[in-house]
Amino acid sequence: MKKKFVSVFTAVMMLFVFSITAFAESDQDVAVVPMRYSYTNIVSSRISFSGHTATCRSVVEGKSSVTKIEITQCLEEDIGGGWWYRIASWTKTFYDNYATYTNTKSSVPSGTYHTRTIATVYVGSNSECITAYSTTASC
Amino acid sequence: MSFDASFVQAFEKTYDEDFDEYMSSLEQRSDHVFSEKHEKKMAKLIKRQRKPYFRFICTAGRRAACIAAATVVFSSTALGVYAVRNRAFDLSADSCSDHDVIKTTSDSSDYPEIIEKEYYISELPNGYRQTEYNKTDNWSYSEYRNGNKRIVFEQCTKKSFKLYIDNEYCTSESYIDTDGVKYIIKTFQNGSFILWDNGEYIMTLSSNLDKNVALKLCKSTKVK
Repeated sequence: MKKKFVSVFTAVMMLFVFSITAFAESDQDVAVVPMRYSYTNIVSSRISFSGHTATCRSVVEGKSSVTKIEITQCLEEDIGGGWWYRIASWTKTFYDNYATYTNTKSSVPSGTYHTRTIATVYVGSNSECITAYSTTASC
Repeated sequence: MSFDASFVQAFEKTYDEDFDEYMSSLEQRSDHVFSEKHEKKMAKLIKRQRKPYFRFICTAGRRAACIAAATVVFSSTALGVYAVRNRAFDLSADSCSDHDVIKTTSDSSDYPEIIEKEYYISELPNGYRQTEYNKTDNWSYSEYRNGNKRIVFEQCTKKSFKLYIDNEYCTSESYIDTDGVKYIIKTFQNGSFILWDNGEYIMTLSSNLDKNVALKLCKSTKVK
């Protein structure tokens, strides 16, 4: 009898404790996390070398409501320690819900590189920003 | 005679009488005959106990352990087969809260490092014309347009393939054809995206078409 009472009492107390924790956070305290992939279906980033000429390609596919896509494409070199050095970058705006962007850079020094694609996808005045990285390639 | 001795004597006498009566009732009783159903069940139980593997399945815990062991052995055997292992391992998806990152995990030395055989869509629907084409050692990209409709076909070397794809606002399914090729189909509100590994390269087809029509285009790809 005593054990039952203790079990029920503990269960009820735990219920109250969790309820209090849930209500402790007010709307003003919650950090707003930016939504991503609300406007974007797919982002791909590619890199290829032919000798010391790098070809970078970015593809962004948005939902049908997308009115504009801005792509910033960066060719970056791996300098170690998780750091990347920007060798070149290009930016273009596309007034469509689908965009492909290809650029080349010649005389690239030997090293390991990737393409960083920064896509800003617009639905009217609202936008979201997505970064996509290619695999690495060496020349 | 003390009370104790009298008690013991009286008890022994009563006990002997009751015991004799009980034993005689046993002797007179005929042998019990079990029902046919019971006999069959007992025979079945005895037969099962005589099986050589009975001690491995006699309890629920041991049965569960056997099933788990069989699953591990089967999976290991299946994945030991080159074709199955590579189908299983070549495409992997790292899932985040709002998107997946899809890439290949296989040892690229087993597959072409550059585009050696270039593929194309052999059954392009009427009205589509090629609006963009781009080829490097690592990819071949073709875009076809028909008004505001679009078909984009890409062929990538396995080492260069990587994709970021929404996983919240799409449905995902897979289809395996008669040749064992697995197609991963992502259906968005405004079209579909199909991804497959043909054994040498990763192919993708993105379009505004119905997914079944798009799948037929995927299956129509041939070497140029």
